[in-house]
Amino acid sequence: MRPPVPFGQYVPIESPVHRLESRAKMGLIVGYTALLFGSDGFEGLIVGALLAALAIAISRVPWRLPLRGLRAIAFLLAFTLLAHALRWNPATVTLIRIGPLGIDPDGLATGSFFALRIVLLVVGTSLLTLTTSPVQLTDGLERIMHPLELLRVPVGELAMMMTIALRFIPTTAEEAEKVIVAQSSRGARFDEGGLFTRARAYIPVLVPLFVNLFRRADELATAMEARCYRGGAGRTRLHESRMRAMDWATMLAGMSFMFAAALVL
Amino acid sequence: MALTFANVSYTYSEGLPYAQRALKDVSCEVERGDLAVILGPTGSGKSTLLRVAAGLLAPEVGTVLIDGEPVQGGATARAGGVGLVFQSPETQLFAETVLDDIAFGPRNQGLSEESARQHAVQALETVGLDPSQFAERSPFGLSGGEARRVALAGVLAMSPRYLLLDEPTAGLDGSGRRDLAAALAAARMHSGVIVVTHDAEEFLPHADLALVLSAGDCTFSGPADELIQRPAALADAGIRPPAVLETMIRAQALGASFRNLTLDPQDAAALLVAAREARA
Ligand SMILES: Nc1ncnc2c1ncn2[C@@H]1O[C@H](COP(=O)(O)OP(=O)(O)O)[C@@H](O)[C@H]1O
Ligand SMILES: [Mg+2]
Repeated sequence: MRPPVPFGQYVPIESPVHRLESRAKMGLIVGYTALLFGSDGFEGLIVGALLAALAIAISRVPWRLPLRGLRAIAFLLAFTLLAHALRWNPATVTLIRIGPLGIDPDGLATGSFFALRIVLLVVGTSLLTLTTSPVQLTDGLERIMHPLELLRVPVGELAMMMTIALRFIPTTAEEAEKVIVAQSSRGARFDEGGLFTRARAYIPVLVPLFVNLFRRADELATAMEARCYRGGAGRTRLHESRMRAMDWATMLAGMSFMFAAALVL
Repeated sequence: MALTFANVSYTYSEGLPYAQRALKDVSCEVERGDLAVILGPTGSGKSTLLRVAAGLLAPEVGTVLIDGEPVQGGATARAGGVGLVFQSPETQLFAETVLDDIAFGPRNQGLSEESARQHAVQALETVGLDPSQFAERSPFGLSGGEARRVALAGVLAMSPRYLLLDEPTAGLDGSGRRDLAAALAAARMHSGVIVVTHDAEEFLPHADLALVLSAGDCTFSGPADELIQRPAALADAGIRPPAVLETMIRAQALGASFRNLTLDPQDAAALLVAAREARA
């Protein structure tokens, strides 16, 4: 039995990357994305890979965590690689040939380039959620979207919704795990039979999960009303997170380096 | 015939920076027909111990044997080896009717629909709920105590040789507690029972065996009466002794001396009077 997944995989440890303000990290991610997509050769990707590796090393997050996200996109990667590499009746000299199908070096190189770009994007951005708590993350997003309030976008409400949703995801995951374990200790089998049998096997998990979730949501709404929550307007924060000189410096230096690299490479 | 724990250790999130050692080298043996109570404050590893005992978590070190066989999660449950009643089990009810919910386990054991229902009716009776009143009700409209007993019946219906319960009385009111205690007394006729709790008052008086957990360490393991004679083992782990025992300990601090300590109010009263006469 695996322990519950801490959602967003936030790893609560101390490091310079953890201490960096969430908005600064988001700025760096923007620069990083620009570097990956702005450069049109492997050089840009190599610089990106080095930067990501450096950031992971500084963050003291175990290496396998940022890499874990790749499992989910393994199919996408394989597809990207093959879509570029496979040629029907290639005229050029081919690496491998199976019947009319062949793989040619140029296609393989292009495929690798696009696949590596996705890998780096996933690994780099997952470092944001690995080193930033969900609350800091929504807080940062709310601040960034703040100007939209002028256009009457309910930024406060949106942020509150996001905070609550994020708050509920780990609880729900934990609860699902609990109910699955409880029902399997009553002999339920989740990994046998065809698709239909398996889907049916989850009814004893889904029903209590929804019942409990609605009950909890209802309690939360009541509790929020009892404490006079009336939308986001005029809400203040207990821990006002600020961009310090160090955050500005890191963000601006990192962003300008990556934008420059994107243009040059 | 026993449920045996040999040198069991368990660590959550092994290898990660936030790894958490929840059990360290715990050993114990519970015979069928015994009531074992595992005491420990919140976070001491009680729930982890039960999950390991039921084979839902594999111990990192050590072995768990059920009547000599290694425990194997769902398979052991289906074979009637262990039944685990989780903390707040009423949150796991799902079926349309109470009877249908209780019959879920027996059905998974491969019983025919008819005998699954028979087992379910019997289990309802064991937990003190009248089948003619409760069988066809929705499990979502029950009181807290009733729902808890229905969940218990869902496990009892599988006739486990060892019944494991996690904080079975938490969140119940006085009458809910009494009804549940009666249901457990009935269940004890057929199974070895292991109860995990932070509340010594409830189960220590009826226990044969006691185990004290403190931050994953087993600091006491032995006959319940031995624990009663050594209440410091409770206090050291941060567990409040039962009221009668606490009264005697305070009398000792005031100079009374007792041959032995007890949880029985009548015996305690007699001992207090005797101690007073001895001083006079
Ligand atoms: N799924 C889990 N992942 C990580 N740590 C856990 C998990 N479950 C429990 N723990 C930790 O293991 C320790 C023992 O927990 P638990 O067995 O639930 O204690 P108890 O039931 O006595 O309150 C606690 O420190 C708890 O924080
Ligand atoms: Mg517990």
